[in-house]
Amino acid sequence: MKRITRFLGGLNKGLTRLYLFIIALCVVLVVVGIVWTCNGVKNTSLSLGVNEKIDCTPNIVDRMRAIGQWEFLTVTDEELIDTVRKGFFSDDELVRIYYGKLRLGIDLSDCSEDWIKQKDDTIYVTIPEIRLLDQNFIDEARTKSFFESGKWSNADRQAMYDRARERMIWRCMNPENKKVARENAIEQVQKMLAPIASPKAVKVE
Amino acid sequence: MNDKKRKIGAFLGIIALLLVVFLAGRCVAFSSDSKTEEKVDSVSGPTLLMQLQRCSRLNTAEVKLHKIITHDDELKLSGSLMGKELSVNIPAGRRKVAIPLYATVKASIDLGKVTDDDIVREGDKITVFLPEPDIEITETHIDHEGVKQYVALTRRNFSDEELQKYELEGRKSIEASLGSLGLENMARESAARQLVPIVQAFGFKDTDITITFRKNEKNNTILRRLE
Repeated sequence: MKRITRFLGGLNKGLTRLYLFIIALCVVLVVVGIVWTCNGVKNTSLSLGVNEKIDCTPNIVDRMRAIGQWEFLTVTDEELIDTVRKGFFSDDELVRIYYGKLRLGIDLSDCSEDWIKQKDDTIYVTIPEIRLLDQNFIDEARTKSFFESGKWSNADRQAMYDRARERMIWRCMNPENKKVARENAIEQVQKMLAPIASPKAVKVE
Repeated sequence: MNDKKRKIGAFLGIIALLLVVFLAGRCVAFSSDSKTEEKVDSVSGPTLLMQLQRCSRLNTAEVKLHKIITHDDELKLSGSLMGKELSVNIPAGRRKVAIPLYATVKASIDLGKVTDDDIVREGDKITVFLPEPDIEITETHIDHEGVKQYVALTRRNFSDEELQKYELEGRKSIEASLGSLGLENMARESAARQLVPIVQAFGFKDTDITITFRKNEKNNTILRRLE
């Protein structure tokens, strides 16, 4: 009986030591784990990002041609165009700033065959009517987006471009600007052709 | 107790009435607006800047070109986790856009720089010295109908500002390639073709007219002789 009691006592002591060992091991593992995690968290930095790279295909030349446009007045214009769509709870708005350069002058292909004619000692030069040399003059790629709320389609943007173009023509192709361009045309053509015509006089009209 | 219930009922009733009035008002406003969904401004809206510049430029060559600007925008989780580098594409986080950009490029001779000294006459012969042609983008436009976009469910649409940024990059790319278009020679030859008939009209023979180009205003070296 004594032997059994001694055996059980020894076993109990052994088990207690084993438990203590396991507990100590767990504590050490937990401490190491906490230290490792804390260290890892310190070195952790995550961020959500997007690729900002923009690719362009090579230039495709659609048409190349020789022209003869003599430009006498350049009108640089900026227009603020906005569009509003009424909604049920709120209104959507898109505001853009368009940049354009309107070139006023004469197209040499518009000149009549006898636009330069000689009479006695004077050479008469008749220049055609001043006109807008190119119907496309907006630099749309330079447009600034000023304000946007809501969703806007490509058709909406096209409509805004058309309105910007219409407004620039309305504002810049006024009789006053055409007059300035014509006056400059007469002055510049006179200046360019006088040394060629010398000693004859040049009269531009 | 009944009095309290009555008060609550009256309060809720007032709120419901106000809500009905508000919604009716919005409906009336909406129905009147739906006829003209988009408010179109008059042509006489505000202008920011208008600048006039007198000049004398002979545009002699023109090229029309286009390119497609593309942007592939994938949402990515990147950084370091527990000291290890990480880069993971987020599923269904992709956006793509393709924008067709059209441009017109012109080459022009600045005739305002031509002085009396640049027109030299020797007997029956005449020589006109011209400055070198300048090349610039005169207009750009987007084919809005041709713009294609793909936006994943988890992402927001491309904003107007983002699209403008891409378009500006496309313009810069065209600007950088202006020199490789080969427009200068065409511009010089075209200038000669435009000016020779004008000089001929003053009584000079075709064979007596020389159009030459100076490298710059100070350097009078003849670079090219066109007859």
